[in-house]
Amino acid sequence: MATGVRVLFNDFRVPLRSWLTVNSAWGQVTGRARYSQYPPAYIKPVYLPAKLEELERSGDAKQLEYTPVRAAYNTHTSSVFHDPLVRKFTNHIMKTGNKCLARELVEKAFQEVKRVQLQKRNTAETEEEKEAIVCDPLKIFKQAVENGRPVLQLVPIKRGGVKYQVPVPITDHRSYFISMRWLKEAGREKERTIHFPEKLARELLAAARNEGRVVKKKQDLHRQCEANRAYAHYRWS
Amino acid sequence: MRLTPLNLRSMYLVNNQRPKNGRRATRVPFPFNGCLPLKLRDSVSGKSEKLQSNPCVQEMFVMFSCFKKNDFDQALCSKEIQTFEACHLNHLTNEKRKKEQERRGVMVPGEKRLAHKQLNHLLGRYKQPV
Repeated sequence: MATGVRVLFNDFRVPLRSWLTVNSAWGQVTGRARYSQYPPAYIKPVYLPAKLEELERSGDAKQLEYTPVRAAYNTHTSSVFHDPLVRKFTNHIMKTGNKCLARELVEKAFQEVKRVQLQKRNTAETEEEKEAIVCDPLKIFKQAVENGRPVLQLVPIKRGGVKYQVPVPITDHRSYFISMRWLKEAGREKERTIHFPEKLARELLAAARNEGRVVKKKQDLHRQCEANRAYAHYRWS
Repeated sequence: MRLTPLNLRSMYLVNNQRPKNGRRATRVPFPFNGCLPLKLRDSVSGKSEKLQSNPCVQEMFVMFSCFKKNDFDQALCSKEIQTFEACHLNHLTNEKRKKEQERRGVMVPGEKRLAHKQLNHLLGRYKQPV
């Protein structure tokens, strides 16, 4: 389960929630297809080596031997460097199908994160401080996304000609999406001399520390939900 | 004599009498003839079923009070957040299960409220005589 990373920074306390369970939900082998070019019998390809091993161990691989499989995406690789969350984020950053550029930007942002952290580590004095500084940009990215996830959302509901913003529970998928969208928007803020990767790196580091624009946006959303809590009580029909 | 549509119609047919009206020209009286079939439908519409209620309001309020107390620090309210999320997840799974049951037409005997699909299953078994 998700026990690997718990405390990353000094002031950070919230552990990594549900990411692995969400991941398993996204990597479903079978499932009801909706609006797919494939018939429902076609299963999604399993590309993660760990999952393949698990299938073989449990014996499900034998059952799936003769089932037809859908074509795999180019981005779903069994590489060591592949991460589904990064893949989703890259796709979200991508504009008009320019996956090349989107991937470059994300990779540059991660490089920038690593540079900053390495500099901090090399200038740190004690061994403890050096250990505490995380240099893995993937961990920082995941932490930033977790810290930016809202717990509930505002949904506009029209009643009597007036649109009320009603606080409503949020699904895991949507919360991840909103967090990534805020990170992207923070990276696109108006600063003409600083380019997207550097800004994104800054925002990732800040969000991983529970500071910065993304976390502030999340807290503002929570505050507004709390302010509008009266609307949540009504039975909307 | 009570002026019913049937009586007016018979007066017109037998005595060629139209009902007297000083304000406007009279129409030929005719009773209700039943353009639509005089029998009940074998189905129920599901339009009034979609009661969009906000689930987990109690847990939400508990979470809000915790937020207010700790100035919206999420780390200190992890338990309340977890209960809220668990409630929401429970709600979603229940909805999914109910939907699947409705789709298959499975019914629990003695259930107080049936969905429109389930009712239609039942009504389809005992249709109105032609």
